[in-house]
Amino acid sequence: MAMQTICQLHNRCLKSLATLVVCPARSLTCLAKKQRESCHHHRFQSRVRRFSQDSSSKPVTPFYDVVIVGGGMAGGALACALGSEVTLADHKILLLDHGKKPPKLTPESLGSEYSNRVCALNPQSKKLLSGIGAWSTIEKLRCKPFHRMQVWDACSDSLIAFNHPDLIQELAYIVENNVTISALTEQLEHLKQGNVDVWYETGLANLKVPVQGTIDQESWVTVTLKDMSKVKTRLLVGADGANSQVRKFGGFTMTRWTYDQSAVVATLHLAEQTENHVAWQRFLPTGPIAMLPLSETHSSLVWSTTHEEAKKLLQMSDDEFVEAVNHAFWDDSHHVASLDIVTQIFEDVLKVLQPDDSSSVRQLPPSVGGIQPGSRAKFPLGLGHAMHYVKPRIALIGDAAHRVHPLAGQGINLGFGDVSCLKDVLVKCANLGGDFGSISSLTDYETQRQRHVVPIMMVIDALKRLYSTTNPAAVLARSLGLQATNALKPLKDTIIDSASR
Amino acid sequence: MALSGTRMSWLRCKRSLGRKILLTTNTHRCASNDSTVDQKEVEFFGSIGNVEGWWKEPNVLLSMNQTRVPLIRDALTQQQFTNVDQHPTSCRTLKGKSIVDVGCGGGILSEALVRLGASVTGIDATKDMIEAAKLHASHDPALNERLRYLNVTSSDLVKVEAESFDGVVATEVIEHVSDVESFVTDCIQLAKPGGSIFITTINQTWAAYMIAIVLAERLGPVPIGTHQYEKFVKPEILKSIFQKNECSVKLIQGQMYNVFTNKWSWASDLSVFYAIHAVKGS
Ligand SMILES: Cc1cc2nc3c(=O)[nH]c(=O)nc-3n(C[C@H](O)[C@H](O)[C@H](O)COP(=O)(O)OP(=O)(O)OC[C@H]3O[C@@H](n4cnc5c(N)ncnc54)[C@H](O)[C@@H]3O)c2cc1C
Repeated sequence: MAMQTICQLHNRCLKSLATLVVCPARSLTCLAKKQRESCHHHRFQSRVRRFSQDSSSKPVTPFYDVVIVGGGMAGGALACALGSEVTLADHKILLLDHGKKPPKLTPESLGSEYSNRVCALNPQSKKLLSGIGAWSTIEKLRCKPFHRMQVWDACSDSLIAFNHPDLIQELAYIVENNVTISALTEQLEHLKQGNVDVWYETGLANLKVPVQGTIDQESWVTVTLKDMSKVKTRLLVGADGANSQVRKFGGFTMTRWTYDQSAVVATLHLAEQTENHVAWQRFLPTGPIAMLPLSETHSSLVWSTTHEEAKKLLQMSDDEFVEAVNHAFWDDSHHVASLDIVTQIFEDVLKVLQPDDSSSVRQLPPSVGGIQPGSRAKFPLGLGHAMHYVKPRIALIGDAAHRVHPLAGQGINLGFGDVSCLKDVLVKCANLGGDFGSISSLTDYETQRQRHVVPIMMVIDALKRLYSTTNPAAVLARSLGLQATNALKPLKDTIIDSASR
Repeated sequence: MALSGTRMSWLRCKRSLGRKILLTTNTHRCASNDSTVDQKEVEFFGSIGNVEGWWKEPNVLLSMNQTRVPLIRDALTQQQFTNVDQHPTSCRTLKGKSIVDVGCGGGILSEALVRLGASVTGIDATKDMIEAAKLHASHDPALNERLRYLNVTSSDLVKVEAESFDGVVATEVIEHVSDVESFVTDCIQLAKPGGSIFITTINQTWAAYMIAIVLAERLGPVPIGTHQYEKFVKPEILKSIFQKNECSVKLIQGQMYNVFTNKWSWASDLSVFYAIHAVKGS
């Protein structure tokens, strides 16, 4: 039967591949892949895929050990991580994305303009990206380490600063999202010679997970693509972002709420050149505003605020916008004066307890001189958490599983954490001769990740709520909290440590 | 929920094991006078057979792969035994090794060993079970080439393929055979000189009685009569059979099952579940 299908494929469109007809039935995916490689035109590819469907009575569907839907940072990193793992060398991986293949960036093509979408990648994320060979490309392209992060409150004098004692070790790196994606795409190009296939402009249309544990029918997931062709897999990974289709078709329950906030992003020109190795975040009653270093002369802005203010910020002129940003960082009008005396006393007490802590010295953010034209944009913010990250034969990673407020810069760091964990679980499963889609091993991934992600989400959400008010009691509580945390080194070290995990 | 799920699958597995012995009488290939098959077991298990549920999760036998697969894998690749699973650094670690899985049931262990690169022969006296195992494996494109299932007993196989296997595996089956000594001798005969024999089973102790019979059967969901205390095997007995047949016993290790997490782990305590690894003299 399979042989017959191959022959028909051959007759109808694969004349040039006559030699491959001798492949056993199992190599049909390899045949399809060869076909794809020999012809870059996507539409032709999908036609070939469709032919493999309707050219014979029983369709022969390509089979993969893992199919990842979504080639964003999380999905791309997972494909690289699985593809570069020696113990998985004989496992076939497919990465699908409905977008076009991302352009290959070079230092020249980057020029002096910066993308307005950036992430602060923590040392754990760097470790993952180094492990899969993408970090060196990121360093060659562009990234900016920072050594200190200062967070302060618009309503009081309290502040907290995070840094390693010597100020030499990096806390995290600001990397433009398209730089990360480009580095991952470059790695995927190498891995395509091995066991990883990547199909761009291929959207997910539907998926079917049969009843598990029966012996008379197969249990693989059948994925239907937008062009109606199908692939089968042991494990389907949803890495398709906050509006995940995999999550939807898989019937996962998602707890979510919107924050009634939007994030305004922009690339800022600093008024004067500085070392620029501090990330700044100030809590305003309307939401946090953050300035993240990109270079000695540029920083990236993430300003979370009400929808109305966001809309205004997008409509005003560049000059007005620059003024609004400077005002947001410097303005003192939210100060609750009556609290200053309390926080001052508290600070003195802490100084006695923990004298001589250089990191509590207040530094001042650089002032902004202009913005990169056209770099302003806004995104609605929300919080979401899937009750389960796994079901039989399906796993969710990245924003598909959890979406957080950008105020702590944890979003993709949590996603990269998912990638490392899922990779480890799959390697373990492979070493036991297990089935990747088996719920028993996928549950290990879910348990480990939820144990890590849920507390972080709760803290971020609580911070968001605590700082969205000018109520003096809340201001006092958070001021004393920030001050105490700042002064008590062991506590702060724990925070630095867990934020970078 | 999780607890009852696990219990259910324990039940299913044990039922299926029972069925395996039941159907020996229905197949011509395994004569009922086979010394290892117990007629009483056959009659008892007649009422509770169930092949269908063998692969349902959660599943004690499937999770037992967490301990038995590394044991077999590391022994056959000359790795030191460790309590925690240390991953090998290449795929297909068992490439080139031939293994027979005696009493393979629905193929839970056989399939895992094939995925690790071994060529596996799964044998089971129950025809239905072998058919089920074949059917299950037929859906998996990765299993076609190195997996073969035969509806024969160990003694049948000895007649045609003695001294053919690098590894002989009999897990969770010896507590259901009537003549332990001849069963183990069959296993030894199947191994190549220098080959390994692996057995996992239940000890004949007060603790094993409490857990496998009182807790699981009298108070739990496992049908009363599934296990018989007299048939549990003390490790010393297996050890002496191995020694009598010029095998050196490399390891006797206890195993523990956590009902709540559905996980198996190694333990020094042999009193309930244990595994034994012996190497045939060359
Ligand atoms: C303003 C802002 C600032 C942020 N700052 C930070 C920060 O400082 N640090 C940090 O760690 N995180 C930050 N984040 C969060 C971070 O951007 C996200 O967590 C991250 O982008 C999620 O990556 P992902 O790969 O999971 O999903 P996405 O980036 O959403 O990728 C999903 C991919 O799936 C594809 N896709 C979707 N549906 C389909 C389909 N049906 N078929 C095929 N393909 C599909 C898409 O084309 C896309 O490529 C920020 C977010 C915002 C909004």
